[in-house]
Amino acid sequence: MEFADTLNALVYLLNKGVLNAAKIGSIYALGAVGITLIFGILRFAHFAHGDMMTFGALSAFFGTLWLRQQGINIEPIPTGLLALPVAALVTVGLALLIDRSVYAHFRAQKSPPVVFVMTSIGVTFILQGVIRLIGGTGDRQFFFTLVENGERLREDKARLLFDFEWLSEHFDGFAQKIVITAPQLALFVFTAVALFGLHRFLTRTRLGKGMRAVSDNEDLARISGIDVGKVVLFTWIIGGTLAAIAGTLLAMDTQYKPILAFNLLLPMFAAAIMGGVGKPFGAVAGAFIVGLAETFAVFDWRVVYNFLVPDEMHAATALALVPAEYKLAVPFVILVLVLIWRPTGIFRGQVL
Amino acid sequence: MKMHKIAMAAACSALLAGTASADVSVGSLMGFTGPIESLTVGINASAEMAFKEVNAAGGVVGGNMINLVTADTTCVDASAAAAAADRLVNSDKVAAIVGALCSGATIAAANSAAIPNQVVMISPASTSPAITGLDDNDLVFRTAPSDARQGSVLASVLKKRGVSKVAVTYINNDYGKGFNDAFVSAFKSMGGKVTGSQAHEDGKADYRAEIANLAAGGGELLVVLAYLDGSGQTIIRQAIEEGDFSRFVGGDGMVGQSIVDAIGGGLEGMVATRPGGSSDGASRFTKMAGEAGLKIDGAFQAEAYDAAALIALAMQFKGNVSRNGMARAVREVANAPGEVILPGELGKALKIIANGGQVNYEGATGVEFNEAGDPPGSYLVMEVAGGKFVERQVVR
Repeated sequence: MEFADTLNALVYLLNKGVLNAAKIGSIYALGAVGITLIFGILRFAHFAHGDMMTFGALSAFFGTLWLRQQGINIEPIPTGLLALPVAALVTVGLALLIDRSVYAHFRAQKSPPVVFVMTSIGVTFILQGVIRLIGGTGDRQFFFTLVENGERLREDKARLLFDFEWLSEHFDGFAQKIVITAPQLALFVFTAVALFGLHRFLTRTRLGKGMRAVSDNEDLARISGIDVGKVVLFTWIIGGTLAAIAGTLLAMDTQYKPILAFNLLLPMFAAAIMGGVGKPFGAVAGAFIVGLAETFAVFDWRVVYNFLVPDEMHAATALALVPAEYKLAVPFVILVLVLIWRPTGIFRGQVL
Repeated sequence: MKMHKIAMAAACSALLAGTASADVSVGSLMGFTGPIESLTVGINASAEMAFKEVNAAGGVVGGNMINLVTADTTCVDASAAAAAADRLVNSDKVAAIVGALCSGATIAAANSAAIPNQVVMISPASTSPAITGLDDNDLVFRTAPSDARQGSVLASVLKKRGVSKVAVTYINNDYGKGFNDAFVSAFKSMGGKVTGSQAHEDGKADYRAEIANLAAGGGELLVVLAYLDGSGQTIIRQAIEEGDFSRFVGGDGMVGQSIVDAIGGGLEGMVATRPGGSSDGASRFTKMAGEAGLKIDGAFQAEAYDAAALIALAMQFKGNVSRNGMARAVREVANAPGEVILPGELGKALKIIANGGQVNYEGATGVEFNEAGDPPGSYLVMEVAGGKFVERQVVR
């Protein structure tokens, strides 16, 4: 075993393991923060959150199409990112429309939480229909060039290539590289900025502190003079914005599908509950733990192992804990375990 | 005299329709939405072309015009396929069904609606070996050959091209599983090595974990046994983006212009097999389709024309447009003996049958049904070159 092989193993692990976990963890984090805020402040599990993400992605797609039709294209920034503000606005508008027309009614009636949950499942189905009505049932790609007859030709994503030339010069046999595409880079940057911004908002501003107060104890907050209506409004604004960002970045990294966020809903709820309901930063931590857990549960250690052992000991079969098709089962297992052993979550949120 | 001729020709249908006979409905049960939606348009149009030809020749059984009723299976959802078949059988009262396309949809439709109601289905595209063993009272036929054979054809094509180690990913349904089993066992028996064979679920946005695991096992190329508008396309795109694989091989579900347009240059050199041949019938069909303004850019269009033609000829053979006796009639017109019928000769065939003669419908794909209702089938080896799929060779 040579040092170059150890480096090979480490960089491979970083690339296929840690980076992939960080990508999906970032998506989960952006969604789970919205879920936990709504959970904490409005006190119900908002199942329609996944479809709000899909709706955000669809709005961003149409925004991208429109921008390209106007001839707007700033290399190397993906046009989808330029459409993001509009997508966020549209998604927030949708969230507020749903809140005013549906949830507000049940709030006024002081309905029990189970009514809200059932209602949000109903809203999910309506949204899925609306999304298909507007955007069709097919897939859509964010990276294209428009040709004259309006047809869309596929375009390659801008990408960063790290081939570690300085390492391969020093260590013979080192041959790993890492590719990060533009939407993935954007995902990391947006997640970091959005979460830092949210942290400042919740800890430094009057409204942010008010939101935390309502989350802790609504009646006490109301008596203390906090405008609960305003808090609810901003909960939807923040949740909607983050949902639009997460949906759009996921669609840019993979592709837009009408069922884009359906598979994300469970991991995001697992993250929110794991972090402690009503605790945004618990949700972020939970999101990255779920991301790491599901990535490494299906991670094939064969390549890492083969780099580290002599040739005659090489493994020929997959060395993964579970096959890749069971990936979605991992967050489910985590969710069950957390609910059994620590229902308040890591950061001691509300008990469900 | 002149009047008489005109009446005998194209206009006779109008006269007769008013007097003796009503029209007859035939179902087109296909995946109009879902992972093969881009193929379905051409497949349905090809079936429609056969019925147009029959109607232009005066219809079947004394002037019945054939009317094609479509229903959507969504390809991947068995309950949607069953519901669509139920509608065709019980509400539209179709005499027979052209379809379904995806194997799982065909099995679901057959078991839930067609077999219980004694309706013949002729699938132009279902290639799963599972359909051969279907307990179907001889009601389910197909003009597309079974993947039990396509698997070994694909394996031998790869061996001949000097490929010795491959990774396989297949869609987790009847089509993918059957194809994968056939391919993997054939490739291994030819001395090739399969470094990994993994099922995947359709409809996900992200297959990078699956691809990374397959790449970890090595393999010169990735065999993708899935659908071109669904997971097949996503997997190839993400494998290229991640740099895990750069060469790809596919089956009949992956052949179509839409995937070449969607992936672009990275797909150059992709090899795939699909049912088809370079017979006289095939070239006649291609020419006819071209004249009718139909693009032949995917698999199963010739098969759909043949399936539809067989249904029309079978009705003419048994002398009525009901469901009864359809299966036996299909066999009679499809298999030897009789006068050989190629595409474009449906009018002639109808006349022969009306005069008490026998026909042997060969059509565009050389139709001949065995005991299980499967055709023998020949395959075309396709390769992506210059931004489109081109035919390289025929394997019989």
